[in-house]
Amino acid sequence: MPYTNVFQVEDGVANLATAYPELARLIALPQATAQPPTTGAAPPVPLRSHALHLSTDFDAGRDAILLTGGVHGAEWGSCEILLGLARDLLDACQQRRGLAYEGRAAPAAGATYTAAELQQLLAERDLVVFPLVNPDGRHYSQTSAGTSEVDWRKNRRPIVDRDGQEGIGVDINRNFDFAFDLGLYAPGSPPDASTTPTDKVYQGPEVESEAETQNVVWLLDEFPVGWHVDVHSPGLSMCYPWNHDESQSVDPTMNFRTASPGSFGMAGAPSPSTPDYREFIAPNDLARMVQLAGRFAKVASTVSGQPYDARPAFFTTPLPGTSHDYAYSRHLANPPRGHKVLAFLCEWGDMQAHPPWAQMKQILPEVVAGLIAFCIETTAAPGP
Amino acid sequence: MPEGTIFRVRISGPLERVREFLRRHPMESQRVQVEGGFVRRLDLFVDARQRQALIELGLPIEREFDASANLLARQAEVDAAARLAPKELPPPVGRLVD
Repeated sequence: MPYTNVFQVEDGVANLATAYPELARLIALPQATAQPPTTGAAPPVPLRSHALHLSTDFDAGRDAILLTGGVHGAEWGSCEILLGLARDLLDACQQRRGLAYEGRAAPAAGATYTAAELQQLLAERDLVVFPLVNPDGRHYSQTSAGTSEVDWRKNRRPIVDRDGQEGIGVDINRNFDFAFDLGLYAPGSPPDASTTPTDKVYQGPEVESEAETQNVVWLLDEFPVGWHVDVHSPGLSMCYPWNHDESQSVDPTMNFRTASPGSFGMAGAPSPSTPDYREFIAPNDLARMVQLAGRFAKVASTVSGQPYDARPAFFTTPLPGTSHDYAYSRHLANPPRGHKVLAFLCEWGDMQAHPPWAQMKQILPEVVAGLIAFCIETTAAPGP
Repeated sequence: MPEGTIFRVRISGPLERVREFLRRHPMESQRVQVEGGFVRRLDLFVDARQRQALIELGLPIEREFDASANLLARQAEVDAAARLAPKELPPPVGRLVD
């Protein structure tokens, strides 16, 4: 089977829940996401998205790992990665067997998990797997996107903002409630987000304005999520907060709750209002996130034969409103919006968001193996 | 090249010059590798105008491919209306072992 379309992703989620009733339950996301088809030939996409809840005891309320994918329409393989991960874990746990992922260059240089490791994982953690956050965006990218839209990211909601500007779609990974106010960014340090609806990184008319964003927030609200990995492409990395500015672990008073307008900025372009601004991150959290990201990167690199990085998400351009900064910031917000979530941005694929399927089939094992290693690593400590 | 063509490029160059490019053309940076004051690797999606700006800034393009042609080829492979059969499961990625 080559890349799945939006119907096949939904079918896959539903069929897994049916096939493994003791280990998987279907989660109906509350917000409908589909827009009318943009061409007469294109069928409408499913109105309601679904996720999978994997558990050996659904009433235990165990700390959960949330895995999301398909946030950006063009990043097709993320859905296959998460469907494959769910299939593998369910198969292995039901049959009480282990899992092996062969190395790309040398089959022996892969990753293996014993039945005991996998049983222990599901004895201590629940998984919530949401493979396709943005069905409209995927459907558009797979059927209708033009040659200038190779990296179509947004959903397909028609927008008319307060100023009467029109456009199609919002970048869901700029729409979360963190550092959304672009006035917080220093002049001359433009963030990778836009208030113009025609731009590909349009942040949306309001924070959490999009149904897709609301569905992810709902999962964070409804489940005891302690870890969140948002799967994107391309890139070979597992990144951790922050993404709106550089970080530091020395001065807790320098933080997003008290930052003044113009505080956030590009690396090498000090903000005039707060020249040395760097976002505080608690040393213990940072150490744990480095450990978890490093575990993913080590296993993914071994299976791939190419080096995956574990690093802070920020490079030089600030990114506001991302899911990983939002998820991690929830316990720090005033008032707090839930307990602590260690949050990550996973990027797979060397240079392409939708490589030829033959290449994607080689990428799947390295990312799935790395994500399972990440999940097992979460059990090394009692909670996030 | 057809109008609207998008390239995936891998560049390298002095960090300050890369920052200057990103200041003028804000965009997401991927596969970043920096050593000292030098960007060893950075992947970007650029249009023809941005690609020209890279050249004018003296930032060498080490790898590139036509991302637009790739999209059209991949779209042709997707059956947008196909469904899974009622009991059909997504294919496994790993191999079960004892």
